[in-house]
Amino acid sequence: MLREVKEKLFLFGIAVMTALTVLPLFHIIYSVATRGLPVLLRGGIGFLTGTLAPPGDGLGGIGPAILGTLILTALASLIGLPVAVMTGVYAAEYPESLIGRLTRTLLTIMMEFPTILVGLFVMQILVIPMGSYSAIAGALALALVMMPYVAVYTEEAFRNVPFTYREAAFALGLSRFKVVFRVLAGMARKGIVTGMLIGMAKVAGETAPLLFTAGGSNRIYFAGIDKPVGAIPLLIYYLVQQPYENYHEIAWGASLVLLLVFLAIFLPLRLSLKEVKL
Amino acid sequence: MRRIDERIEAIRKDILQMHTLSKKAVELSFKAMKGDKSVIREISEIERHTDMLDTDINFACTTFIALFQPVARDLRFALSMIRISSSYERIADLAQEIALYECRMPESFFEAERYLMEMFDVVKSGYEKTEGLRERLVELDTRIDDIYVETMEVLENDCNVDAVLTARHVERIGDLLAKIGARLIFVEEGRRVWVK
Amino acid sequence: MTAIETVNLTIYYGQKCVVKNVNLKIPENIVFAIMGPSGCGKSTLLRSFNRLLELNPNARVEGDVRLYGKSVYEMNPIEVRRRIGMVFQQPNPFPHMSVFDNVALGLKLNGLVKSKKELREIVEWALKKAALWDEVKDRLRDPASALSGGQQQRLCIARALAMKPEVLLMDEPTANLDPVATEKIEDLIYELKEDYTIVVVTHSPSQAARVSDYVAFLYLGELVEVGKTEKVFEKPENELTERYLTGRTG
Repeated sequence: MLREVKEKLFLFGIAVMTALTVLPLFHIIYSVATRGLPVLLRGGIGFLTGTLAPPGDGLGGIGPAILGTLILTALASLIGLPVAVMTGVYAAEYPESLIGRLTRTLLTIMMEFPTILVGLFVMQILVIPMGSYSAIAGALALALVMMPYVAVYTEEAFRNVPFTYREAAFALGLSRFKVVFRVLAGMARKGIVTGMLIGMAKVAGETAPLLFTAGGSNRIYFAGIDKPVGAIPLLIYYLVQQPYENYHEIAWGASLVLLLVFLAIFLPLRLSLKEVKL
Repeated sequence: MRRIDERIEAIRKDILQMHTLSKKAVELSFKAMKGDKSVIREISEIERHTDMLDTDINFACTTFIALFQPVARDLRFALSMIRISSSYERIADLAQEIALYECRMPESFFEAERYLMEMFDVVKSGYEKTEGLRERLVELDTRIDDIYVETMEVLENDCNVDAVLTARHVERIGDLLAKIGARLIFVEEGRRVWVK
Repeated sequence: MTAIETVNLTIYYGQKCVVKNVNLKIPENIVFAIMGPSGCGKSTLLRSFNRLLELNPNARVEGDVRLYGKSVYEMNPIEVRRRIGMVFQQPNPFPHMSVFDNVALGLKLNGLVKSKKELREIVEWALKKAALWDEVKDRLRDPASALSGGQQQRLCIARALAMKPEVLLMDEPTANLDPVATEKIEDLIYELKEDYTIVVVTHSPSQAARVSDYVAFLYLGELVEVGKTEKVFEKPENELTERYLTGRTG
């Protein structure tokens, strides 16, 4: 009798804890949705395409920020993905070598690294010598944040390819390069693409690396790779600190856009992962 | 199952050769009975040949069983061919012995040759199909047995050992052929019959 | 002509000796079976023939393996593996590629064909040789994973044959297949030996009996007995062999 009671208490306790853990997430989604939706509805398409309204006056749009996020993510991918995939491949193929082992450790450290420090680092090497904030600096900072994730996912993807396929490919008299890139890569592609998408989705919502690198741009869409560029998280950061009521509203609207973009990438990704087993 | 069929065909070929050889031996032995002793060398060669074939067939059947663990008809085939081969080898032996005897057989005895030759042909047809095989073999074997009995009555007064043995051997050959027929029925139909 | 010869071949995994001083002569154009209980070094031995063992960093080889007289260690491993094809226990056609592409892969990536037409001809030839053409000729673009286990294994055989090897290694090729598929593959092996030397590793003595011309018995890494299959199964020389064959050993 007592045991049953204890068990029920235990289960209840766990349920409460779980709820407490998950609740904030739902609360965030709820808040952003309820505060941001009216803004979006009021602003319409113009909210997504227009430029920032003057202080205190109307909604305008967050167009430059959206474009900026897209550009930054694209550039960061261009810089970071090839290097990260190669690193992941190397770590998977030569796990015993010094570089292989070092790489694994370093990647794990980099994944936990404070992103604001990454921003500071890029500021030192790019922003200050160039004399201004720029898209390339922001992209580089994002790339540095993205790479460990992509590399680790890539390495995992290659490791998960069953050894028998590796044997079969080598048995055909193929060189190591061909085995890895023409045969195994095809089998690992789901894992690699997943890693890429996760990396990209993650950096699309990063703020700290962009603080000292991208600069932000509210009215100009795209001035050039070496000029400042906007980004949604950056915009939200900027707007919330302003005293103007309309800016706060725009911030909520932008938050909803960011949330929707994030969910749009992550939900299908997570769901499709359940189906795909190599 | 090409590998199995190939082996079975090879054994079959050897057995049919045994059949032909032993039939020839019996033919020659009757010639010897009638007085033509020049056939003795040929019969001896045939007898040696059948000995070798018997060993070969034994080996082939044994390895066939060892390697393929056959069942059903294949198994019946392998087992039966060992025994059939042994019967043919015995027939050739007996034929050779007959050829070496010195005696005169009663006239009525030589009719047995006809029946024996017919038995050989009937048995040969048994390799293709076994319908009615038993009946025909029983009939022929009975005829031979009758001739044997008759001959023995005649010889009772004679007491010629070679003649008695000749008659005995001929009767034996008939029995052996009948047994071969029975085994062929076993291979084909899986039934164990007496051909008597 | 001896297709494969091993000379004092000894193989270590780390400190453990898994193949002890094996001396074998495998004649060409026959089926040579290597049988023995599981884990006695058969698969390791097989992989030393085409140097696939080198994929395992812990493996160390002493002694020599010779292909038609020449040591495989004096040849480029890539060349060795082109002359010696291999089929594995678990059918492993590349799942993300079509039936056609699987067979064509080795040819394409090694630059062995000069035209698309030649490629198609060789693929068709290989699939016919592997007794699979009739079943897949209308499904060449289907993914390889859509085939049944037995078909997949024959696809792997076609993939290996497309490279026109001299020797075909088979590591327990039917261990994961049902009896009907097993029989098809055993028949196929019998047909193939006219053109290739085939080395089959099997843990089933009855399969070795059905399929091979010569058989070697490997026990705990040592070569216990080797000889013509007919002879070994009728009267083994070694008592250990006899105990293994009659099932009276652990």
